[in-house]
Amino acid sequence: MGGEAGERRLGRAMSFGIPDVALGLVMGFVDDPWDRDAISLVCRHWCRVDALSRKHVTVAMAYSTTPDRLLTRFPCLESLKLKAKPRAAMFNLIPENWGGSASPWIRQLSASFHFLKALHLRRMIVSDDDLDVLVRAKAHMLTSLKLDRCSGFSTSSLALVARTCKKLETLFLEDSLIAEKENDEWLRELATSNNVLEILNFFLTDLRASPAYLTLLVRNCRRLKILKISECFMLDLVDLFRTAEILQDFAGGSFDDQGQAVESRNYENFYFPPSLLLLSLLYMGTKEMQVLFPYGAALKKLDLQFTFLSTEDHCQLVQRCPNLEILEVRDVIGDRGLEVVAQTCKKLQRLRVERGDDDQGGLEDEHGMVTQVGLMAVAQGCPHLEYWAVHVTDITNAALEAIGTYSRNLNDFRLVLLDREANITESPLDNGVRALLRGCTKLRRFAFYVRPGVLSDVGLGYIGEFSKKIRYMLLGNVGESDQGLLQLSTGCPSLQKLELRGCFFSERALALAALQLKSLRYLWVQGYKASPNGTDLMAMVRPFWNIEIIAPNQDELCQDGQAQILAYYSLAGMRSDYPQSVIPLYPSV
Amino acid sequence: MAGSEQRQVVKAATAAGNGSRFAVTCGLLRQYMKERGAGSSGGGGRFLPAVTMSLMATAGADAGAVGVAAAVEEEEAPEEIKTMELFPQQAGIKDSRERNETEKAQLSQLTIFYGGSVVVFADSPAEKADELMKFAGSRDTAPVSDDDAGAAAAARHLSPGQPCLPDMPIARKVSLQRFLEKRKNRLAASEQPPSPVASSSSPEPEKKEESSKRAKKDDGASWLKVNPTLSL
Repeated sequence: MGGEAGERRLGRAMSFGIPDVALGLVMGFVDDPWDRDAISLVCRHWCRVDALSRKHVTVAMAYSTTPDRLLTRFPCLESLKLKAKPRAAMFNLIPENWGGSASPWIRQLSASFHFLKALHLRRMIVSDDDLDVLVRAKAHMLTSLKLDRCSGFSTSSLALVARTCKKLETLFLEDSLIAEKENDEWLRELATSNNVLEILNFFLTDLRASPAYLTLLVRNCRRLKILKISECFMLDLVDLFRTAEILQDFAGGSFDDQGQAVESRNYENFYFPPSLLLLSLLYMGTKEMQVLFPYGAALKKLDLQFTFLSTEDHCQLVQRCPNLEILEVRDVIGDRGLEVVAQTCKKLQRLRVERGDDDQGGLEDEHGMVTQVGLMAVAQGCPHLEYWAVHVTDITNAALEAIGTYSRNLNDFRLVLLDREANITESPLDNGVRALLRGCTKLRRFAFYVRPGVLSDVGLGYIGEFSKKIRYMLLGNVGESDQGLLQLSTGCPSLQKLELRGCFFSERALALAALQLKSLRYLWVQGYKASPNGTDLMAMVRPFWNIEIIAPNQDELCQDGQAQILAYYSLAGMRSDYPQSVIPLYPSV
Repeated sequence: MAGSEQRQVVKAATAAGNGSRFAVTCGLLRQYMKERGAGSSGGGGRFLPAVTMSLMATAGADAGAVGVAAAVEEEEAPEEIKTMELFPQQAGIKDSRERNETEKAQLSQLTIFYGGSVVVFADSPAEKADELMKFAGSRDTAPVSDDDAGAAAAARHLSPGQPCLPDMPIARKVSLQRFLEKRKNRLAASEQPPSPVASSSSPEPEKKEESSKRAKKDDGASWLKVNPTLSL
């Protein structure tokens, strides 16, 4: 739109004014929140039209703003996603009482957001009282409730939600800590009160669920497409699968047949509905795996993270699944398994290779290891990969270069180098990282967690130089000195969220980097060189920049002995709900 | 007409996939609006300078980088526009980063870094801070005693200059760890004979076996020996 002609045209358009109705209609076509942001910055008028027509907002850090502000700006919001605890909470690095209560939000949402019908809370503490308030105000409206990795509530609330929210289409509780009060009564309530449910997810929870209620639910909710449950013996679910004619996505169950009579361990007549395309199965062993063979060609997703399969089993199974788009495994799959993936799964878009049981005292017998060999095979064989998270035991520059050459569609790449082996083939990996970043131009998220010496200051400089679009970055054990971090921080123009762990950077360098990274709005650091008296951190003090120190955890359950720094932009001011272990640095400026 | 033009832009941006071109265009528009000044858009009223937003999220970078959460924050009630003018001045604070132990206002929070501890006082008067400053200037080492709850916690972790980092085991995702523990128990329970693991509650024997197995492979891996309670 540059040039004089363009400017004239623009001027005409703006001076005549676009009617609000038209503007609103046009904005209706813009879903991308980043584009919405750009629109809202054009002028105040556009900002207002956008604010009134925006249906969904994600607040990436609940303490960065207040419910009041949200209401003032977006009074007509229909859907809200809120996140609170740092990501590190998923790794047990954040004290349980850190904060992140949903109460102030739920109170405001219930009282004033008259159009709200979908709520997604992630890593927050939600009490039964909160849910009671929400349900009282929103039961007639609520179509989607996601309590995603939350804690603090019980099945009584679930029963209340099930009983009263008759329009609920999505109930998502994955990986939440839920106190069980009335067994699975909530499930019976849901099965008998709701007939519009499309998604029910309580995968990775400890909730018990009786097959009879589950089957009843499937019978009554004819639109149920996604069912993700906790552990439940698979052979008890045969009726359910025969009833669920349109089920597309199933997770949970259990092939573990302990406590089952021998005669009930027969999978010969096992049945999945033909509509089923996405599967995550628990405790599946070699024997039971064969149940899947007839369905292999139809499957688009397989999650084998929580199974007993060996490297060979993975090879056998994956060979039969040429249409996979999503594959999630542990590193037991090994290079051999990944080579099969590369040969077979030409449509693969998402690949996660998690870390297996390599602890001391672990029982991981299969010795599956993923190295440069597997990475290179996948990079060459699966050109459509967009998301790739992998734990490796060895890695070379050539493998990273191969990813840069072939995996052009990656927008999210995460690599963790495990400490199983004392030595790796090649170090440093500076050039490999440069090649990867140069080649994968669509990368928005990047994690590189290695060990000291593997990425030098030069490598950090490359990251700064070649990560124009990257918004989120996690770096572990990288760099040699402050110089590396400072070099990195002269680049990375889009970096908004940075997580650093186990790096030897001084407080002063961290503070300078935080000032220098021009898009940065969230910084989490664990393991750094504390200055003798802590003052160096004050170099990053500035308006609206909250800095909190999380003291090393004394709690045995939470397993860490290193202080953490959390710093983020906030218009809400210093939070008042921090526990003793959190020390806010909030000098008046 | 303008609408269809706009729609084309929208379509183009959608086609481009990541919308960044659209964002850039909007950035140009914003620039244009700013230059044209207030009053030219019918009933639009004053334009939002949006300075706060830029500083907050992108420090003047292209608007395309402005995030979702930032979108929530960006909104400014009219009276808050005033704060925008404060920004450039406050930005100067970056330069005065050599500031000393005290940060003060008339009656506000006082944070002291001293002897490896952080002490935070709520509602501390400015004169008090001045006194403290003088006091700190006059003496070299005088232990700060305070029973503020935060201080004790702070002292625990900001111990004077930890010279080098202890090894930090790679953290494991809790959900996966829970599974692996269950898996271990079940395997142990189901196949007692083959493995020397008698019961999951006594991990000693398997640990020994495992570590001897491991020792063959990597004797120099010091990080393996650290903190076995940590799941890495």
